[in-house]
Amino acid sequence: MTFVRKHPLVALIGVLGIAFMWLPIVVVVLNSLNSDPTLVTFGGFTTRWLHQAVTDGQVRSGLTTSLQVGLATTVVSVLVALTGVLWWRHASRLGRRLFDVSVYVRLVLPAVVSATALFLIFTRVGIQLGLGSVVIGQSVWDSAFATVILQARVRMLDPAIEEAAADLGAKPISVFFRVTLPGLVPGILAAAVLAFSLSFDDVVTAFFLAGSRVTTLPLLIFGLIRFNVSPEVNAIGSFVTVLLIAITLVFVWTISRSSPGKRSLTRDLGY
Amino acid sequence: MTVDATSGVALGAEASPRRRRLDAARLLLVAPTLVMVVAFFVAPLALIGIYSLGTTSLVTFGTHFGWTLTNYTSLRDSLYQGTILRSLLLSLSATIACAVLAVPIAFFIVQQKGRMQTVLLLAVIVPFWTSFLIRIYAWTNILQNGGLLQSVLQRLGLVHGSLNILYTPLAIAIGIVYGYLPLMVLPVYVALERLDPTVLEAAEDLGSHGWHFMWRVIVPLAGPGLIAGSLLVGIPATGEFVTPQILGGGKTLMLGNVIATQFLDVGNLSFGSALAMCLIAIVVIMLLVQPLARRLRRA
Repeated sequence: MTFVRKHPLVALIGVLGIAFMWLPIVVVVLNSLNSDPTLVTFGGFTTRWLHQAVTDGQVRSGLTTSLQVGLATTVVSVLVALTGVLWWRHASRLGRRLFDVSVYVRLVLPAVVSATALFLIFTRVGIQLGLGSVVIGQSVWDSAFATVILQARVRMLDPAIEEAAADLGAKPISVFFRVTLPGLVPGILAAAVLAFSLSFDDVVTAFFLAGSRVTTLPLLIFGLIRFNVSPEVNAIGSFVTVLLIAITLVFVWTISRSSPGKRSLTRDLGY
Repeated sequence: MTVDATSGVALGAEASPRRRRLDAARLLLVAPTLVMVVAFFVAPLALIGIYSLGTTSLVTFGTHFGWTLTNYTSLRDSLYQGTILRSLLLSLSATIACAVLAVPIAFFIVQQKGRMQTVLLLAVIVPFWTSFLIRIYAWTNILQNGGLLQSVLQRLGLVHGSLNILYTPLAIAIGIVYGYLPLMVLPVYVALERLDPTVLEAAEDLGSHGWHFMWRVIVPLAGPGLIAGSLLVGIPATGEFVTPQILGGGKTLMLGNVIATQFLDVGNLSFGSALAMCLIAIVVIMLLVQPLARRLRRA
């Protein structure tokens, strides 16, 4: 659409709007190097906060907890999504419709509501809050995301290839492992990366379901922000930001490599 | 002809033992999703509904289950009405601001050539996937008195003295607009990307330029994207918890914060449940408005 007249105001808002999205990230990274401890002005470069963050025992244990929760949530979410999508693929019309509604509703409901509801049922039944409850809470939402990604991937599979394999004498089980599953691998990878980064960024679910003994990294940061302003938060934030940007780029790369035909980033992302 | 779930093997119409075995296997496939949805989503929400009709004693923290509407009538208290109203207003104004910003941003991206479009789209998506918490926290630094925004506005001569924006509803609105803007930009982009360029060309040839072109051509064509984006922004914004906590300084509260306080600090589970039901009702109404908006658009 390059021939449509360019409007200077549109270009201005476009450029400023995209800059607006990056501004806070730049601020966090610069402040993690800012030697002025009040962070009001820029007082020159220091690595003091980065060093403090790396050597902080609380940060380390928070990171370990977040990685554990993240990995467990990823495995649970991908397994739930994969099995669900394999069923959905050949379910009846009604079955597919109900399945889609169950995914949509999980995505749409604010996390505050689903987390409180789980908090209520866990305390009622007497399940102790901790790592397990956080993993379950995050998986409810993350598995819905993973399902959407895998549904998009399954639509690209050509059933004729599986039928051909079966006609040529392959047993159902080997058709699945040698034809269907390899076709889904890029989708599984993308769903896993997405589930992990959603889990790694989650505050709300962990806030309700972690109990008093478990602290994930976002919960630790949330506490630091609420109770005292420490320049260390920016340093932790810089590390987390760099990690998540790397994960996102890997995600976009896997998902856009995996789709044949015309490249469309937004279609790959499920829009 | 039916096709088996795991293998794609064509099966006969008659129910053989093998067929029945495969049906059982298929049921096993949907079991994890069923457990996830029923045990960890539907049952907890039903429990919220039951609790909201009971009463929690603030002395023993035991809940008496009855069929009372006391919790719902307490929502009429001006404190909670203010909270509900504030959540709705903040969410509405943030959604409108996102829509106003998203149309030119998406149109700007659509106008770029191939590779540049991908780069700009990534520039919108990548920050969105970095830590929400950290990005919102950064705004405390930008909005605080003596911070970046104040010094820029002072240099432009727009502001004298301190800003006093941080820890106000305005700060929360800025945070929400910032946090959810990509969720509006992406669907609007998708709507504009699918447009037939000749339509836009025709509009220009017929003399539509500037404001007229944006308002009468681009905005209506971006309609489906704007409707989808309004839900993607409006729903989570109404239930927002992190942003008011950080940028509102715990002073300006939204529904999500009051729910958290009732559950985790006060311990009034029944009243907290009624508040949660209220949030659910708002979400349901928003979802029902969507098809209505679609129909209005077509009319």
